[in-house]
Amino acid sequence: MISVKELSTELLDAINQLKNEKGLEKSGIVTRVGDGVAWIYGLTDAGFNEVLQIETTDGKTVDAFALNLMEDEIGAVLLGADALVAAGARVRLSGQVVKVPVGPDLLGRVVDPLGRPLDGKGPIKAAHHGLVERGAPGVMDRKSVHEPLMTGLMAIDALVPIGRGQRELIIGDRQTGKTAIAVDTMINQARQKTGVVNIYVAIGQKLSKISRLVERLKSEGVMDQTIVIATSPADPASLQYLAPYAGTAMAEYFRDNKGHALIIYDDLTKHAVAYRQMSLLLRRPPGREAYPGDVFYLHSRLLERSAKLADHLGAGSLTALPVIETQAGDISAYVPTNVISITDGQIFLETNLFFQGIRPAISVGLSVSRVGGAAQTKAVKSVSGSIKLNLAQFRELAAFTQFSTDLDAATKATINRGQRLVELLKQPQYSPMSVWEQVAVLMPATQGTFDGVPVEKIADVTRALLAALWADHKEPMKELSKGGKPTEATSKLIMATAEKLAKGYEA
Amino acid sequence: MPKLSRRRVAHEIVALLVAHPERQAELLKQTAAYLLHHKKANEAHLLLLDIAEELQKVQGVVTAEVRSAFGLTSASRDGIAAMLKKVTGAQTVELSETVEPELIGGVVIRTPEFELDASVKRQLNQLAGGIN
Repeated sequence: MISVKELSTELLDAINQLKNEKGLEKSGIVTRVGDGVAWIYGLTDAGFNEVLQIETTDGKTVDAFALNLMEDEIGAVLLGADALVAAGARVRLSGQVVKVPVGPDLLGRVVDPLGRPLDGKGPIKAAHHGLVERGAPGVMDRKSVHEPLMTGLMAIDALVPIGRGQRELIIGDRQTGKTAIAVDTMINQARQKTGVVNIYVAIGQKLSKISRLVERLKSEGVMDQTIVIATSPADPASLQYLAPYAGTAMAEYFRDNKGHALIIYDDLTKHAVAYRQMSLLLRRPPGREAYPGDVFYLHSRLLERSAKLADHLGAGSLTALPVIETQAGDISAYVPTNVISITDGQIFLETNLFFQGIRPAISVGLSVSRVGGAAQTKAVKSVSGSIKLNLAQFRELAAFTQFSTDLDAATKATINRGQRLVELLKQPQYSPMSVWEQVAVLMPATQGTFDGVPVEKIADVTRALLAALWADHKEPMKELSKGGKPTEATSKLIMATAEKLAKGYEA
Repeated sequence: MPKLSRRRVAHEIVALLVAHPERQAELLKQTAAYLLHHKKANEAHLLLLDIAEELQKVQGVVTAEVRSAFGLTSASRDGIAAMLKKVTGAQTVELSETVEPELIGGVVIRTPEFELDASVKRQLNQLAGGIN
């Protein structure tokens, strides 16, 4: 039997305890809700980006974060289903901005942008939490990019090298192999044992695609050093908006603890679209292509967090590979131009190249790396110098290839070399090349050793060359993989083997 | 007519009410007309909350809605009033009480600005949330 008197005494005690004002919280009321946005009365003390807890009809809470702070009301974006939130619901301040679990416990896991596990492997017991929105390192906290981040793709490592701490954009139409480049780069980090941690942020990607990707990473043995942050088109725009920031917070843990991390934002076009949806629903004025005025800042503040840290901060790095999907190759659209100007270079992929069988379909003319040159491996640098020039000359003359009989010898030679180089830079998916492999293939190619080999046999001759070198000269090749400039003896060895093999393939 | 924020309107209404208490009926009519004109009639309850908050500042009166599972004893009532006075700085506390057995135990106190949910129902919900 419950005694009212007893309860009353207990209540009085409780009130006495509460006299120190603990438990008395500022509260507001939801006035309108819909499309993932709640408008809240009261809570005049709410901070920008502060997490608000909205009581649902069944007594649970749904989190939201405050984005519009106005005189009479707050516009907050819900992090859960809006169906659970009703007008009249009470809202409380949490006193903190959005945080996610960070640290090595997340490696090998697939999580949502709030760090909740999606892979069924149980809860994540992270000891640390990181702020989703955080300032970028300052000028004195940085060092210029100087260490290479090998992608394992010869076309990138030789022509548009990427350094640790760089932001290199991967841009192209749909189905041109953008994600493939990112995945190969992740695989290469595991194969070459670089110690770089991978963070893959899927923004509004099909769950089937994410699932395939995770399976592939597992089968390649990469998943142990990878964190996947997954959002699907079915997730609220707020989660898609938070995903890259959450991923960056997780990556920053490694950057700030003397480690190296690589983060892939796949893709920022969908991120901008999610932010546009939120902004329009929050009634912020639309600008070009209906994006809000701060869509540049949306990506600039995100990508600025990728950096190479100075020695006094542990010399860690965070390299970013943002992905942008263009429509019909239009790189002058709003979001592509923004991200091109923010990043330190771009890898431009073309549909025609892809369908011509040139894969990765990298357009050598339009792709650049603004800071990676300083970080290129000496070994690769020593052999890649003339490729860009040769390919540029070839592109100018490519239109004349069909009149080959009427051309002078020099033009013919340029076209010949160009065709072989293009063939050489083709690389199947999931087979990144190590430093020695790249050097061993590029060195004879740039010196014209393969000029007599028919184009269709270039793949065979390079395969044979690599097999022969690995079988007979393992030690010098291992030495070459360390990245130093090839010694004269090693160069002679490669050239001699290549010349011998090329003769066997010449027509 | 310039569009004013609801807070500003509440501030003006309270200032007029305090200065001219005899014009209360007329003022309410004008307020109703203002709300209808600006298609804000559905915000009337929010305006009233703003007015209550303003009144608390001006007159030192705080109105609180108290929900409890078994009703309040006079000692509890005094305790709540004392706590609210301390927190809000008001001289007078007006309590409106309701009994809600579904709270199971404890009390929920709501003022325009603050809330204290010390109900057993909320604690159980929090426990359930923690388990999930």
